[in-house]
Amino acid sequence: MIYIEFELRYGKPQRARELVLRAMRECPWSKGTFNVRKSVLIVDLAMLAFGLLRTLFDHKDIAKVYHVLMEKEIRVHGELEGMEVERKQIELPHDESSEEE
Amino acid sequence: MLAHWEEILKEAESKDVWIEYLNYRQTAFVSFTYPEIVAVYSRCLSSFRRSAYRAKDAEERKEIERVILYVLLRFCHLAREAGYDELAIATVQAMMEMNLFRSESTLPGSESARETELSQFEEFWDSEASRFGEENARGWKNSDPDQDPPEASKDMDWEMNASTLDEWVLREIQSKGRMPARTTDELDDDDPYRVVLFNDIKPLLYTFSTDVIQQLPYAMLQFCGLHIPPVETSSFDDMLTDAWLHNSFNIQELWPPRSTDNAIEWINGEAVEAERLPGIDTPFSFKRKIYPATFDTLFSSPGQWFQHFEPSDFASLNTQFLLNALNQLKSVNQEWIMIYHLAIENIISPTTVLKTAKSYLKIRKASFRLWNAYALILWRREDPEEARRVWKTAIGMAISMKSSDVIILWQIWISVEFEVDQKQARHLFSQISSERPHFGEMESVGGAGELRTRKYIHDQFYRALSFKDVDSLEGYAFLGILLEYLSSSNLDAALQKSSEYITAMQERGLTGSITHERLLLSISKLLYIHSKAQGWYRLSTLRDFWQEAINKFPRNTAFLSLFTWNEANSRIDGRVRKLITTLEKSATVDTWIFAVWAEVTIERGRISEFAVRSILENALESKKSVPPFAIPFFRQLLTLVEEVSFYG
Repeated sequence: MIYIEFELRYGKPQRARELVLRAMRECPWSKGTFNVRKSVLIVDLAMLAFGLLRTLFDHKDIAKVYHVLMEKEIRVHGELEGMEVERKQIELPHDESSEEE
Repeated sequence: MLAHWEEILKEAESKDVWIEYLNYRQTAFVSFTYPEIVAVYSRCLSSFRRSAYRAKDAEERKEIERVILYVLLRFCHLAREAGYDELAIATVQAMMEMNLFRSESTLPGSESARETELSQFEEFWDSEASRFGEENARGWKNSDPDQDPPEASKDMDWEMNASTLDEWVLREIQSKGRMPARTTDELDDDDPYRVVLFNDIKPLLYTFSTDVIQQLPYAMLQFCGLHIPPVETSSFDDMLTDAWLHNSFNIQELWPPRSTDNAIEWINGEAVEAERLPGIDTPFSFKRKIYPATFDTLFSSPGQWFQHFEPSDFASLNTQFLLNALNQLKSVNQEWIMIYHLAIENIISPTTVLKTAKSYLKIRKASFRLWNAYALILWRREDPEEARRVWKTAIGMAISMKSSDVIILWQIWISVEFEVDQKQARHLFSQISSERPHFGEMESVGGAGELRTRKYIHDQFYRALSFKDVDSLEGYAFLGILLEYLSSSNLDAALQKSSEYITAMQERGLTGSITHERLLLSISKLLYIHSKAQGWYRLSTLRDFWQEAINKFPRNTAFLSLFTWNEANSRIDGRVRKLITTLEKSATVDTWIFAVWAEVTIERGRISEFAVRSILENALESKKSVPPFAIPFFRQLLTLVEEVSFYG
């Protein structure tokens, strides 16, 4: 019971969400898709937020990720509607690692 | 920071500085934009180009050209990963056309000569004739500029306005890997990146003038998603484990199925820990294939040995492009590319491969490696009689031509016979030393005849060693070890023979060479077959052998897999972890992924979430000490973390 409670309290899905954002910071060029259906892993980050992990991302998160794609001029095919957010909201969390590393 | 870099670049435009700069720019989040990074790569390539033109000798130029190829390939991966699939594909096509299908015989050695050549190439590009990898492509030199462009293809219906997120995501997924469109195509959308104009690729193009050009077909395969080393490449080659170039991979069998076993069993009302069960049945399920390409790994039966190509490796690849490309490379006439072609076609188009093999044999009658490949394909298709016939003919030819390649034919034939019938293998051994082998009646094996054969193989091995004839050397060494095994039925005797040969090779400076690695791999197969067939063996014998192999070739994932598989059968926990800890310092991204895989598979049904996370976090930490691998490394590992999280 203690173990179950531990898992509930320290639920992992949230970790996954944070990891996506952490990785996006490190790999800004990567858009792509996460295709597990064919059991081939094509590691692409941003699309994780839109695809597989979507239940973990709220609308605001998705809008943020979308705006990063736009800002970095990563190519998307057609616009995604309903993604208007204030510009100041665009920064990704985990800003502690600086460009000066 | 950027200004600082500019200063450094001004002072030293060395290879290492440029690569570090690329790493930095590609990963610096705040300053990163796609157009910026394209400009950085173009500048880098232009700088290397100038150095190559200025190079004082062929050796120096070759070194620079190797880097140019690396940077180009890396750019293609980057463009594709940023969504510019068409540009990435077009760049690869243009590189192949310009280098392998050029008609001009003088190679450009200056910027102005390059300009002249490029303006001719531009005509070809703008003619919209079929390009490398496309249906009916004839190659730049054979194309007719006055020919009408191919018929316009109709674009598939492409709904540009997605009203829901799901539609949008679906369209993104579908657009992956799309071939470049043509100016003549009727495009439904106004997406400017569908068509790749000459100016988009111009800054990237380069004509290779050293034998680096022979690496291009391999680079193309790599770009297409097939991570196979060129044939003379050992697992030490940095390109093979470079994380920037190896971001997608086959994750089939990476994560074990969820266990239904109970962690605790009840015996007489008392809870006891359930028995440990090995989580891996075969050593072949880890799919980051960092080991040399050999006939064994190219044409293996599923589940019998390591396979460089398996159907699942092709699941998300553009196989039509691959097949077209390989067919078009026929005119380039590279023996091993032909063999790779057969190995690939054998998987994705098994009905046509024999025809292709015959067509190759027609143009390369004296290529005994091609004969070998052909016979092996037949053998693996359960057509042993035909396969034997091919080997007999080829061996006869090789003997009459006095070709030293004859030993390669013997080696492969005998080893496949050995897999099914040891007596047949011993019979073949008796013919090796003969000028006129007679394959007909089965002689009695053993006795004086076998002694003679042993002496013959022994002498040939040392002769090849003194002439540094590495191909023959490897064949004789393996056959010597196999014969020792067959005639003594004793693994220890065979291993003793192998250490004798390896020591002799060491004295000639062959330690760590591709020959050494391939030989260890062949012996590994013998050990594996022994363990499967005999049932009785000491785990420690195999452990010691593979431990030693890993010491010599720490990046080789076949040795790691075999070691782990052997340990999974052992009752004592922890040896794999201990081994991996010793590798951490020099670990490549593949080693780290291997560590995760070993952790989750070695014991059935027991995944320690914390142990996995700890490996991953250690790996992320270590990236700081291995800059060239740094970031994509991180990326792949994070994705693994995600997968682990899905598991929970």
